[in-house]
Amino acid sequence: MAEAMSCDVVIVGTGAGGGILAHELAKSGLRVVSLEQGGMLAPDYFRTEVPPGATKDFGIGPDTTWPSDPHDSLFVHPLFADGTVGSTSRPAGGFRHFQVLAVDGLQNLWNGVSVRFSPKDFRGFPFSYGTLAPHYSAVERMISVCGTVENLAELPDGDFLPPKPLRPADRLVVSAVEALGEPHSHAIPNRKAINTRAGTAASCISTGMCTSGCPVGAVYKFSARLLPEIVNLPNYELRTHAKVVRLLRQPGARQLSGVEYIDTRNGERKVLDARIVVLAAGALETPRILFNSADEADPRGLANRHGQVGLKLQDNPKVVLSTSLWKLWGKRRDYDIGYGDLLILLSQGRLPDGTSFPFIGHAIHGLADVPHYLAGLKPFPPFVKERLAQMMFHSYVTLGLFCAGEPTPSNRVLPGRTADRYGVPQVEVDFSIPDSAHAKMDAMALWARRVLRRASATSIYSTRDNSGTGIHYAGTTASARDPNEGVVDAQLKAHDIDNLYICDGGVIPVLPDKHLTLTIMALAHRLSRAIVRQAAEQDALSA
Amino acid sequence: MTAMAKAAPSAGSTEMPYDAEDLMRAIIAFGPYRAVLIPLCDEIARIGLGNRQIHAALHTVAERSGFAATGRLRRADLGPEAAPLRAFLEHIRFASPAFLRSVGEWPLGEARG
Ligand SMILES: Cc1cc2nc3c(=O)[nH]c(=O)nc-3n(C[C@H](O)[C@H](O)[C@H](O)COP(=O)(O)OP(=O)(O)OC[C@H]3O[C@@H](n4cnc5c(N)ncnc54)[C@H](O)[C@@H]3O)c2cc1C
Ligand code: SF4
Repeated sequence: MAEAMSCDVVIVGTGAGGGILAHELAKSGLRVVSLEQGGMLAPDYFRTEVPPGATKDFGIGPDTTWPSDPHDSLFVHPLFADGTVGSTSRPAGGFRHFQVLAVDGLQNLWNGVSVRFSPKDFRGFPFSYGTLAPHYSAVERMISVCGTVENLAELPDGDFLPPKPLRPADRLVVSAVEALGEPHSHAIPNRKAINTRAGTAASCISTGMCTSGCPVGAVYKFSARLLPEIVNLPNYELRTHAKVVRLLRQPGARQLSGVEYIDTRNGERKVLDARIVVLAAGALETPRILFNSADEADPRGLANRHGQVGLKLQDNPKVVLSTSLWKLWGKRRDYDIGYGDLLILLSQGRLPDGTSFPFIGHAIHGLADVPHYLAGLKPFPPFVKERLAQMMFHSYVTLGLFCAGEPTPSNRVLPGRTADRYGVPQVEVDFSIPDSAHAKMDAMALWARRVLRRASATSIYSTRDNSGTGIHYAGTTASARDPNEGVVDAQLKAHDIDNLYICDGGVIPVLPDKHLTLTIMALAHRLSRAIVRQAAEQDALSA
Repeated sequence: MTAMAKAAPSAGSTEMPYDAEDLMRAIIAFGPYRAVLIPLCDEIARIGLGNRQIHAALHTVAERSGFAATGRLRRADLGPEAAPLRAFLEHIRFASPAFLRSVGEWPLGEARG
């Protein structure tokens, strides 16, 4: 569709939530415009420009550091936005907020782990697992999730493609978890949004890791799967380089008239009128847009009459432990390396007060072509180092475990004092790690050590964090029945504005241990149905 | 020397530009992996200049040693930059085609199924 001045629905952002919404709403026949701050990555971006691992320039980029923390390698990708364009100015030492400002958002680099929240996980939500279950199924089919049916109450099954086969390292971890003899501990095939069907143009070719971007489009992202189905529809437009800065309305009105955005190529300010606005810009950017939309009637920002916008920012506390398994020393690879992390781990940790808590994670065994292991070989002279590195090359295993976030009101996003390069005010983050998160990280690390030791671990390198590097941001525009508890209602409609919806991690009120993105997508699928109904009702009224 | 390797000193500096490839070759020559790394020297210099930390380290070492004028480098000239430069070169040694071939994983970027 040619550049429209108005539309039925404007969707801000093309990430996890924005992508599913665009697809469903465009297919429904509504006139839809996706406004996206970034551009579209070149089709060969992850094949030739920034390929995975050591393929190009030995895996060294502008921001690689020496000495570096091997567990930090995930966070230096050139796609991550810096403080000149991001939602925050990314001050040193603060909460580390990661954003990818491009079509597909963070899903350009995501790992694809796609798990359903369990019925228990919905305890703090204004709706139940049952409400979302059909939407989980629909999304799993749209994005194709591989996995196995396990009948575990804590991890509901879905509609799965077959996973890739387990490898010797995985089998050692599975045996180690079984040997713990704990009924609540499980090591099962991972559930990832990956096309594992053989023989298609976008089949997984087993590069051994997904977090550097997929060179063949096998990991789900909007532009690889769903955008091609709608891009030529006359009622759909993807407008890139369009940075939404604020929502527009008559002061005090409960209806928005549209949005104002900046064309980032020339700095021009533009307006797009819309009957319905959906913010899917991420759990920090969406509050930013709401704050920056303040007017006389709502000086604290739109949808913020009850002062809830930005509160209760959560991210999953996590521990990461890496080791070399001596039982794999000297082994050559005669197996499919697959997508790197073929196992999901589930268990429960015990806190000093005797209570227990659930956690989830994955076991990673990829190619060590980028030699992060060198830090561990530091004490050895070069000749010995070389021999050891060869012998141990296929023996490395990393366990990454996550537990639930905590909805603490003082951990929050608030209007900032800085502006980005377009002059748009940024937000700041107040975040301190809750004491309970420290205790949970201790317990998870203990469990991981027990598993790794049983799997024949040698020296273990361990890190932990809960200040943004989980990259599972939630809670800042929480969904709640009571406007004093959240920003949107159970349908994700803003309590204060009748034609504003939010659909990103921000609406998840209580972040469980599990990866949240499949839930964002299921929420988007459900929301698309509600929006179609609302638009039809409006049409009926105006007729 | 390639044009790419002719590295300008930091902004405002009155230092002469130095030849990054020559400097890199001299640094590699101090280390244990010279046999593998010297043939890759031009590539290593380009990657080093493209990396913020190594770029800065090369400039500092060039200034400290007067490399642009003399073309000579002593081990002591590496100063505190020795550690990151050593780690950078060691990284390349263990990500090099020669090493990856020795563990059966070369070429990269292909299916691993
Ligand atoms: C390395 C890595 C691995 C991960 N692995 C997993 C995993 O395995 N499983 C999992 O569940 N999650 C994972 N995640 C997290 C997951 O990627 C995010 O939870 C999810 O993608 C968030 O989607 P979103 O749409 O809410 O936000 P985003 O992805 O941030 O999307 C926001 C979109 O809005 C655009 N935008 C922002 N501001 C504006 C503006 N003002 N105007 C217009 N457009 C704007 C952005 O460019 C972007 O396209 C991972 C993330 C990373 C980085
Ligand atoms: S492992 Fe497969 S799905 Fe993951 S990035 Fe590589 S090719 Fe893509």
